[in-house]
Amino acid sequence: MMALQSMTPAAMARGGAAAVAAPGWSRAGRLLLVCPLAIGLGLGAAGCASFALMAAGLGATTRGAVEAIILAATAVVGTALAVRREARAVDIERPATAAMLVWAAVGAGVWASINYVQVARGVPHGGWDAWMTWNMRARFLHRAAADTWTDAFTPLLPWTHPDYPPLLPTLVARGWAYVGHESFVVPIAVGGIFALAALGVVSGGLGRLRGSCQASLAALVLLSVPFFLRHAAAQYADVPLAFFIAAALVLATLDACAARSGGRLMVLAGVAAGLAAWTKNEGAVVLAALLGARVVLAERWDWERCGRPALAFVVGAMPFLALLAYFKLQIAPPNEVLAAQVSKPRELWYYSSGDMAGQLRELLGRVLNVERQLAVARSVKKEVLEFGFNGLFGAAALLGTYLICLGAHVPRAQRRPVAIAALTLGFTLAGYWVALVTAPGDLPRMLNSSVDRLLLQLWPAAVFLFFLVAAPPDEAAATGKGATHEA
Amino acid sequence: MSGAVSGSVAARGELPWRTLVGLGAVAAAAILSLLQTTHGGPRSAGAGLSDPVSVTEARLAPLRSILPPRAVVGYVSDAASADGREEFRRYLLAQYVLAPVIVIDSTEPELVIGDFTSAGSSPEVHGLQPVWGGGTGVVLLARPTR
Repeated sequence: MMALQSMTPAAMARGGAAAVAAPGWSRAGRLLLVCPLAIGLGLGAAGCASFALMAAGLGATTRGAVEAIILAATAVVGTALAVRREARAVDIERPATAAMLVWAAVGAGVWASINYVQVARGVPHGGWDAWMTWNMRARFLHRAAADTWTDAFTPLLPWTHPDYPPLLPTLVARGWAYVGHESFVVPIAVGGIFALAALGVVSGGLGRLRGSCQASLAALVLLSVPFFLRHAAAQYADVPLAFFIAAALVLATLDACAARSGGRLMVLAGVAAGLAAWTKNEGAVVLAALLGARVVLAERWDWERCGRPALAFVVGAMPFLALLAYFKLQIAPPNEVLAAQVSKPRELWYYSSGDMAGQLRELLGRVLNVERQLAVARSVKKEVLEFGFNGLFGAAALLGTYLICLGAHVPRAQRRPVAIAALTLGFTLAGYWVALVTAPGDLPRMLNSSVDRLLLQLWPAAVFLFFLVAAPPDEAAATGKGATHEA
Repeated sequence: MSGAVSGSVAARGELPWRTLVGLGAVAAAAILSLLQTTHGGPRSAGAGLSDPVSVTEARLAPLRSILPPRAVVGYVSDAASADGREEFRRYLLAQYVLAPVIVIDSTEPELVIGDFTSAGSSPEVHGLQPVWGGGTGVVLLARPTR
């Protein structure tokens, strides 16, 4: 019961608020970070709890009652904690430039929200992958009887990727259960909430670490990629995954900047990374990358600087990884990519353990194949240059221009945390690269349909990292020319 | 730390030209992107759902009350395209509409969904006999008993 209690949305909100609040942090800044974290992590944890209760055999009505009782109990405790914390917040005076950027970001956010609703109404069932995979599975979970919901993961429908983690379908099915019918507003709302939460967590984290100018600019840059909004409206799982990746990175960076790391922030980072793995298979790559980067770049390889943060991270991720392991071992069929590594393309569900050496040779052969490496490199280069194209220029050109104009500046105290964040993204890209190079089947077709979405998953986290490195406009103005300088 | 410095600089309204160029690029990118989404995205047709998925759902949905709540049924259609994409799309849509019934792309099961949109299509060609018709080209087919 205590474990379930800590996984409810309200408990997540209180945990998040308590972990990130700090003296000298403005009320608005704290809310900008705490609210999206609470909503996003809360939704994720609630989805996991719902799946766990479903796997335990509880019907929809019973599940709803259990969640309502837990939410009511924790809401009372959480509100009391929030009121007490609120008294410690201070008002921070904002200079004119920052105020102007804040209003620009708010205006862009409102405009983007209106756009989102308009685009989403045109595709009420979402894009191809949404109705083929995520919403289709949500219909199985919502419509099936209490003892036949596992039909949603039948190996008879391999093209629906039944091994994919079921967070998004569970959330949509749960939403339909609450509203009483299969309203298309539910998946549209889920997509919009995660898109806004990604915006909020990146802005909030930058506001805490680098000030409101960077927070506002990050929001504007995030919204400068049309693909971000359209893909969220298409109800794919890439935008929710992008939120969890960004949240994990922001929380881990905040923890690394704290006087004593390895506390609640790192636990929450583990929660976010665990939920990333529960959203799509790529989330597991991010989880490993974040843990690896933190260990590799630890100040000292001792308990305080290395062991404690790693343990906190694992503790946060463990409940979701345990549930994921149960799902993969007991419910889902084998992953089609792994199963198809054998040279028997017609028998996707046959995985021979008797020819392990041959399979490893085949994998190694793909890694060492220069043509495949070049094909992936060309595709990644093309997508990076075209990413976020708005009719005149793309995101790479925008960020390059900004960096040239304002320069880079990382405060001395933040250099190690920023390096950890950069290495995390580097490890993640390397993991994605290996997955692309070793993928069986039609490589050009896979590259055409996947690379842009893989980049989108990392986009909010990349924007967070960029504005940790780029000099804020007020600092650039103070130096007079925006050149790199020491703090 | 930077607040005191930025307060004095911003109060004078002086930002270097490079800073203004950088900020201007960000503002331009955001505005262009939002304009592109405002004018370039798919539009709702107003009252009623007229997107292709909703149209297919309206055609196939009556089958849900005919089929057993849990079953594996086949699927056949008269779709034809050079790359097979249209046939695959219509089959996937049928599965989406009819979940939690499992629809496989085959005529082997006892019950088969027939999805015909052209007048010349004849389900008897597949050795199957219609047992229910929706009047929109959607039929439920069965193997004749021997």
